[in-house]
This record gives sequence, structure tokens and C-alpha cells, in this order.
Amino acid sequence: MKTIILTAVFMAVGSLFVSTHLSAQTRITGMVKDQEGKPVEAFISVMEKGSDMISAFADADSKGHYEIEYEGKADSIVVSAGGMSFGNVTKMVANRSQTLDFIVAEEGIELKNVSVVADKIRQSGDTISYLVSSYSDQNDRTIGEVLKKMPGIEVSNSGGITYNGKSISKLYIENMDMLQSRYGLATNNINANDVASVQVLENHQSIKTLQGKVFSDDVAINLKLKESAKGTYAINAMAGAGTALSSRVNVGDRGLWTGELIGMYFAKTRQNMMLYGTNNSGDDVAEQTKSQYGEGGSVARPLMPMNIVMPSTPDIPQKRYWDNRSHLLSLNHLEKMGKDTELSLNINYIHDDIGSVGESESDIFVSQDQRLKLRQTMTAKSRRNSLDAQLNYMKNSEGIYISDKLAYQKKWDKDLSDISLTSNVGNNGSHIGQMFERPEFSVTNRLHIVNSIGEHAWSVNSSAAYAQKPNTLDVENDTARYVQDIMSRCITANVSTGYSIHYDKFTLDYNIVGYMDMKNIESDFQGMMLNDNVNDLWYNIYELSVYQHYTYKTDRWFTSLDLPIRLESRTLDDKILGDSDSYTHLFLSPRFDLYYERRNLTLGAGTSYYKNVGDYGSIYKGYIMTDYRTFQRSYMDKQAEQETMEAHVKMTYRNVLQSLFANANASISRRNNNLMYGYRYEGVTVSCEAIEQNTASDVLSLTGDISKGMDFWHTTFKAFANYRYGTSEQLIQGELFDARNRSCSFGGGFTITPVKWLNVVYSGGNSISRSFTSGHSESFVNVRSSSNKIAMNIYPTSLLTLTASVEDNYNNLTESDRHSWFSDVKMKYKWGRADLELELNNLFNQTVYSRVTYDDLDVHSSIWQLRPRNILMKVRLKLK
Amino acid sequence: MRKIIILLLLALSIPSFAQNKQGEVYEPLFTKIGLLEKVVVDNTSIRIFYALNAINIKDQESYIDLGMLQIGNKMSKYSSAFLAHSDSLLIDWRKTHPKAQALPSHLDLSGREGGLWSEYQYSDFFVEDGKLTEWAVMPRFFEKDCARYTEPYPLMKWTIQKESAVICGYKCQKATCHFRGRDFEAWFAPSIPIKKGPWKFGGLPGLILKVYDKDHLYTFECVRVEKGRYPMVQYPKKYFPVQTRDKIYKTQVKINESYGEIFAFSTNRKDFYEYDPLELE
Repeated sequence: MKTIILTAVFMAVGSLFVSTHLSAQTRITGMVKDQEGKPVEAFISVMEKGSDMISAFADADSKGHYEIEYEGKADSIVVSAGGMSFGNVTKMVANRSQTLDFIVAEEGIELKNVSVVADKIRQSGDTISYLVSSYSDQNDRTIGEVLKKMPGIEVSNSGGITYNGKSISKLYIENMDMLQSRYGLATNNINANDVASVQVLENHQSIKTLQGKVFSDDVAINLKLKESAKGTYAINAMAGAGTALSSRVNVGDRGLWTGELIGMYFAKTRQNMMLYGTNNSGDDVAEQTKSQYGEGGSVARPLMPMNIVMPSTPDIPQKRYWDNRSHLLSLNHLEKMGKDTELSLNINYIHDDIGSVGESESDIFVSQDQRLKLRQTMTAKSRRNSLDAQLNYMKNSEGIYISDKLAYQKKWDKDLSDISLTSNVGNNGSHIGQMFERPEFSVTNRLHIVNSIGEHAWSVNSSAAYAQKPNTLDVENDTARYVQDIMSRCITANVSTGYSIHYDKFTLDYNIVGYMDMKNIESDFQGMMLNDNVNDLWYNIYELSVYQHYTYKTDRWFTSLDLPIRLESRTLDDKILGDSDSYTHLFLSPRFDLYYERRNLTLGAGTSYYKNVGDYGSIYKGYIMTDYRTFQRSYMDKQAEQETMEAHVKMTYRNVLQSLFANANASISRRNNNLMYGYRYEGVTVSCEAIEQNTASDVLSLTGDISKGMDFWHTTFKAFANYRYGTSEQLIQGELFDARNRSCSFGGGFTITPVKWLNVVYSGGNSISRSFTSGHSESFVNVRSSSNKIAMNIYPTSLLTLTASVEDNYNNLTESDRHSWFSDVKMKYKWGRADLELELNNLFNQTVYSRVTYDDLDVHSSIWQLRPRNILMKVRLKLK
Repeated sequence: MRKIIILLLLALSIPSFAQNKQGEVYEPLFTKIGLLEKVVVDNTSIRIFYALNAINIKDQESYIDLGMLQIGNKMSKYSSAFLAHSDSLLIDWRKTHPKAQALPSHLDLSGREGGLWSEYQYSDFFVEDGKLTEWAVMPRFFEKDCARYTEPYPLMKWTIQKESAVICGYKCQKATCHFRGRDFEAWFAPSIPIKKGPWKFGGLPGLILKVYDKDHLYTFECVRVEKGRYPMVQYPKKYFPVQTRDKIYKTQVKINESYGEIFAFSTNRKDFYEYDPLELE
């Protein structure tokens, strides 16, 4: 009953409201037409008389008809028709429902030109650069840290820069290339605050005379400095100290030091950068002076078929095992001689005392029922001294480009290694001492000239180099002493000239290259009564090649064909035997690639063939001690011939919307040789000889990876899998074995960022590999290894960064220490002008690391001693 | 105590006025979006310029973008004037360097954060026969995802208010609307009988000279009105296949939010940015 009453009341009030409402509503209808009676695109609005506020508006339809309602009590109203073609037409009428037509004249709208902005858009300017405004915040100390934040840019520890996965070709400071390929010094040391902007120069053609003529897909970076940073000397310093936190210190010093002093000066016509760095904390101070890209041209590489046996390098970060006392001095200077001419000098001197301690166990396949087991415990000391200097001259004008680089390198390296040898063939802790003196010296000149002739350009690239290595390996055991002396020299030269033609979608590139490489080796072995213990020979190669490179490119297809033709002559002049031979061959090494690209998908396929004749391993008639237990003599009347064929397919998928990325590759390759190297074991000594026998090896490889990003916690998952199957033939003790190797690895990881100040990264991988001979697979073991790492980055405030990581490495074969657990903690704090860094390394005090690998049919396990738990504190300051 | 905390939280959550471009996303390469193949589709008689998120309305360099509404005979177009200027220099540069395969990304690009992409600067909007088409230019590395969609125009349902103000020398009246998750306030000039405005705005009985969302994240304000004949150009259709608005919107949001993260695949970057789009749905 209550409901009915309520409903009745509501209805009564509602109808009252509606009727009042209706009583105040005015409806006006009509047409808007032009003078010819055609409908016009228009809208109608209503204002009250005396007001300039619109109360209601409506559109005229395509026939020109409109209908508008006004709710108000004004006596009169102003009705306007508006439209772009005629402007505004207004009529004042009484406030009552009525019909009102508009006839309008086309005259365009009246408009006053207004502007609140005084200046027009700035005109002109032809900077062909990719200007990136400053990405830095107050925490960035070096320009490298700022570069890291730019999308697509990665900076490695050594300061090397990649842009979208591609290494940059130049790093300029104020458009000058002072540091050449060793630009890591700039990335790691120039203050972010001194740089006004970073220019990424895509498709950078560094040779002015080729700009606009020859395509370049190089990327370069130019650092534009602030005015305040120009013309003054800036000095940065870093000092640090620490200590090992363990009662036993097998690797490295107990007290740790590190320090750096850098001076920089940048002016309009002069640039200078000097650095001194030192540490004994396992950091590679020379890393930032390493060459980030190849200078091109030929490199003189003297033959050196001997080596010292000492602990190898484990596949973990250098800081964990490197026992060093390093010093680096780097001097760099540039003078601008004129508008287009620069002269620069780079000098680096490195001094290092390095120690290493390790153990290796080799399980060597001798026959189906016989294996040679060796255990070598090694203690080594090395001293490295190296000096390199490079003088660069460059004229880069619109008409001509000349670049000449003269490089000089000298090294005085010396290694000492003591081995305690135990084997299953009679050695029981035999002691072997080795000393390897390996000085070397080289000088290289590279000249590049480009000259423009109208629309086309002609270029010559030439290089010449000389190098020598007078090295000695001195081996001493309980009963005897052996000394191997080798004097090795190399002279090499290279000259090339090229021309390219573009025609629509086709590009044709031609290059003619002349190449010469002369190698001389004089060797003398003493200590064992061998008949043939000396060598004195020249092995020379002369080549003339014509490179042809054709490409065809459309929106979706890309094809390229390489057809290099190479005429090669090799001479072997043996001074001891008074024998000389020469061989001439003509080679064609084609390569073909095809790509198809469609939105998210790229498909590719390719194939190549390569043939080579001659091998440095098969030229010695006299024995050479290549290490303390290997003697090699391998002269063959017949030249070694090697043929390689390869084919591959690949697929890339990229879906941005779903953050799904995938790659898959498959390849097969075959290598044919006409010679085989056979191994003979006598006790622990192995001798190696080449014999004439055709042999082939095949490899099948499959790889794939996938990554998927999700919005939840900004998560990214990644997974990868690789499979490789290889077959080859091995000649051991005169018997032929077919060796097969199968390996498989897979793994994955994820990154999550649950809150802005926390980021967690996990990665893990597993691998299984086994080598075996057909029919006897059961007697060969599976080598399994895995690694898992989890790292956390925490940013509690903008001034503090904490990084913590834990990792485990596992192998299934070593007797002990199958797991190696590592953990590190790092803290960075910005304190006024100073940066403080605290490192706690190797928290679990893991003192050994072990790893097992297959090499053909042999299994090698290695155990390395590591730096104990340690703490290191660093302070960085800008002094000036 | 609790009140203080709430006040503090409120203080922290007040959005900044005139904010920067969202995300840190690179501009596209002009050859990959067909800039050189643009075609003339109409002639313009009136151009209206709008500052986007100006810090100082008198200083162009403080804008995120200078938008340009072109009123043509058949259709109207809203696009970036900063980009149009850079594009014309690029086209001239291309004519003087016909064989160059090394290309600039932009020339003399004005405004704050020039060189970074934002859909509010890079998309072109055409209105013809009651339909709006967004030509969505995508950023560097995603040029292949450029696309267009069409939706009815105008979609805003305005409520007219009795408030007035003078903007750019014209007397304007206020109107409000709710559009795709945000509340907007617009100021239109009844004396200019053009039912259009910047970006997707339009449908009022007069040209919209200023419009912003209630949080003041995005502000378009007229800085110049001029008459004159100019050609109206359009990207070639083949670079911009037709898609749904939903798909294009999601792509734009995704790119803004995780441009850095998307590159984690190849570069191990893990950056991401907070993103507050103009349209929330």
C-alpha cells in the first residue's frame, strides 16, 4: 500500500515538473540555404537578448534543416546561423516557438589575424645530427652513465658503445677524434656535467668528400661540451683501499689498493687527456685503453708455434681470480692544424705483475681401452710490460681525405711456470720448470686516401707492417734441460682500391686488393739428441683479389651476392735443405644471402663456399718443442687443402604489442681436408705429425631464443636452447677413430621490477655434452654443468644504490668442489662532490672454482684458486 | 598525525603542470614513414596554431609542440607545426643531396625535448564528412607499426557554461565534457564559426581556442590565427594500413610505457616510465 502511495506522489510531482518545463521551452525550426536555394553546412545557436553567452546550439542537417530548443524566460532571443562558408548571420526574434529560415551569402568568414608569439619559427639550420637533449640526472658522474640511459645505447665496462646492437664507428669530442679506437677513456672519464649534449650521428660518413655520395650505415657519437668545460684543465681522482677478510690468502695481496688520476683539457684547437691508474684488487686498469674497433688493413703476425703451460683463464669474472699489481699510464694529445687537419698522438704504457695458481686434469683418449691420465699442478708468475704509441695525421676536407696512422708497439713479457706432474704412466709428482721469454716488437703504417671526381669517388687504402718475436722457451725437469729458441719475423703489406655504382635498387661494389705476407722462422732446439732440430725458412704469400659485391633491395626483399676471385701464390724456401717450392692457385669463394621482411617477421637464408690451400702447421722439417711435452715436425710435400661449405636459415619474430620476440637459426657446415694430424703418445710426451689422408668433418647447429614481456611488475621472461652435433675423424697411435660430439644447452631467466626502487634479475643455464666414438658411446662420460645467478638492484634514495648477487656454478665430474657459490655486495653513495663505493667481494669465501670440458675425445678438468673474501672502499672526487 | 600523512600523500600526488613528453621514445626515421612521398589532398584558407603544454606561452622553445589546425575546403587537419617545419627542411635537404643515403632525423626542430616521439606530436588528424582519421606515426624502430583508424567526429558531448574569458584576442565561452576517462574544460570563440579545435576536440558552436583536462596534464592553447593559402598534405596510404582504434591505442600505450623494456631483448635495458595518456580508454 505504502509503495502505491509513494509511486502516486512521485508521478504527480514528476508530471508537474514536466509541465512547468514544457511551458518554458521554445522550439525554433527552419532552413539554412544559400542564395540559389541549396542547403549549406551550418550550425545554429541561441543567445538571450542583451547577453553574449550562447544558451543552446544545434547543427543543420544535410538538407539544410535545423531544429533548436531554448529554455529560458527572456522576451527576445538572438538566433545565429554560423558556417565556414559564410560566417555568422544573426536574427533577433520574440521568445516563442516558430519557423525561421536563413538565406546566407558565401563570403568566407571574417577573421582577424592574431598572434601571441612574437618570433616565427627559426629558419634554416642544416645540422645533420640526431640531437639528444640531456638525459643526465645529478647522480651521473661520467658521460658513459648518461649514454647508458639513452634508448638503444649500451656501454660496456671498457667504455665501448653500441647503438641498437651495432658498435659505433667513432667517438668525437667537439667533433675531434683524439682517442681514435681507444675511446673508452672518454666514456669512462669525461664528467657528465661538462657535456652539454650528446649527438648520435646515424648513417655517419666520416669522410667529408664522400658525404652525400657514398652510403654509410655507421653510427658515431659526438660529445658537445659546455662552454664552461672548454679551455680549462679538469682533474678527477679516485683512491681506494681494502683488505682480504680470510686467514688464508692464496691469490692476491692481503692489503688491497686502487687509484686513478685523470687530467683533461679541451679547447678549440687542442685536446689533451692523461691518465694514471694502478691497483692490485683484480681490476683490469688497461681495459679502458683497449681498442674498440679494428683499424683495418693488415696486421703483421709472426709465427710462434710454442707456448708455456700455465693455468688457463676461467670463464668467471676476472676480478675473482686475477692476482695482479698493475700500472697504466696513458697520454693522448690532439692539435688542430687548420680547418680540416688534425694531428694526434696516443701513448699507453702498461706494467703488470701477475700470478696464477691452478690444477688441471686431462683424461686423454689413446685407444679404445687405454687412456692417458695427467694431473698438472701449476704455479705461474708473469711480468708484462708493453708500450704502444700511435701518431695520426688526418686531412678531411670537401675535396680530399688523407689519413695516415703510424703505430709502434713493444712488449717485454716473461712467464715462469712450475708444474708438478702426476700421470698413470709413471710420473709421480715430477717437477718441471718452464721459463718463456717472449719479447715482441712491431711497427705498422696505415694510409687511406679518398679523392672526389665529380659525383664519384676514388679511394686507395694501403698498409704495411713489420713485426718480430725473438722468443725462448726453457724447460727443466728432474733429469734434463731443453731450450727452444725461435726468431720469427713477418713483413706484410696491403693495398686496395674500390669503386661503387648505385642504380635504383641495385648496388654494385668492386674492390681490387693486393696483399703480401712474408714470414721467416729460424728455430733451434737443444737438449735432446734429435737429428732434425733446426729450421730456417721463409713462407711467403702473394695475393691479388677482385671483390665483387652485389645487392638488390626493395621494401620487403634484400639479396646480396659476393663473388670474390683470388689469385694466390705461396712459396716455401727452406734454407737448411736448400729447397724451394712454389704453388699458385685461383679461388672463387661465393656467398649468397636472401632476406624477406614483412611487418613482424623476418626470414633469411644463405650459403657460402670457401677454399684455402696451405697451412702454417705443415712447413717444418725440423722438430720444434711446442710445449714442455709436445714435439712437432710436420713437413709435407703436398700442400694442405681445406674446403668449407655452409648453409643456414634464420627467422626473427617481433611483436611489440605483445612484447614477444623470438629468434631461431639452423646451420649445417662441412669441412674437407686433404691432410690429417696424427698423435703418438710415449709416456706423457706426445708427438704430432701430418699425414696425407682425406678427412671430413660435419657440424649441425640449432639455436633459438624467445623473450616475452608482461605488464605485471614489468616482468620479462627469456629462454634459450642450443643443440650442436659434430662428427670428425681422429688419428691416434696410427689408428683412425670417428669422433662424435653432441652438446646441448638450455636455460632462461627473468627480470621483475615490483616497485620502482627494486629490480630482481635471475638467469640460469644448463649444458650437457659428450664425445664418443661410434659403437663405444658407453665408455665416454657425460659432462654436465649448470649455473644459476640471482641479482638485486635496490635504489632506496636517489643518492644510494645497492647491488647484491648470489650465484652457483656446478659440474658433475670433479672429485670435490662441484658447486662454487659466489656472492657480492656493492654500495654506491653520492656524498656532495664525492662518490663513495663499498664493495664486499666473495662473501662465501669460495677459494676454488672448477670446470670440465671436452676437447675432441679428451676430457679436461681445471681447478683455479681464487681471491678470498675481501672488502674495498673507493672515493671519487672531481678536484678541478 | 594521520592527517599530516594524508596531506603529505596528497601533496606528493598533485600532478605537475605542463608536463614533459611521456616515455623516452625516439622519433621515427622519415624515410620509413613515407615523408618524401606525401601528397597534397586539399588547400587551406585558415591556420590556427596551438601551444601544447607551454611553460611560457610567449616562448616557443618552452612548448612540447606547436600544433597546427588547417581548415581546408573539403577537410581539416591537425598536426605538428614544429614537425612540418623540420619536414620541409628535410625535403629540401633531400633535393640538394639526392644521392645521400645518410639522412638526418630532423632539421631545426623546435620545442622542449625535440627528437623524442609522442603520439600527441607525431599523429596527424584529418576530419572529413563527420569522420576523424588518426594517422598514427610510430617511433624509431617501430615505423612498420604506423597505421590509421577512423571514428565518428565529434564524439564529445559538451555542456555549455556561462563563463567567459579572452583568449588570443577573442572572446571565448566555457564548455565542459567527459571524454574517454577524463574531464575537460574548453574555451570556444562564438565569433569564429568553425566547429573544430586542436587534436580530436570539436563540436562547439565556435572554434576551440583553449582546452585542458581537469588535472592540467595536457593543455592546448591558441597562440596564432592566420589566413592564407597553403597546401594540405597527407602521408601515402601504403605506409598506414587501416586498423582498429583499440589496436593502435594499445600499441601507443605499450610503446610509451616500455620503450626501454622492449629493447631489453637486444640491449638488456630495463627502463620503464610512468605514462599518463590523454585518453584513458
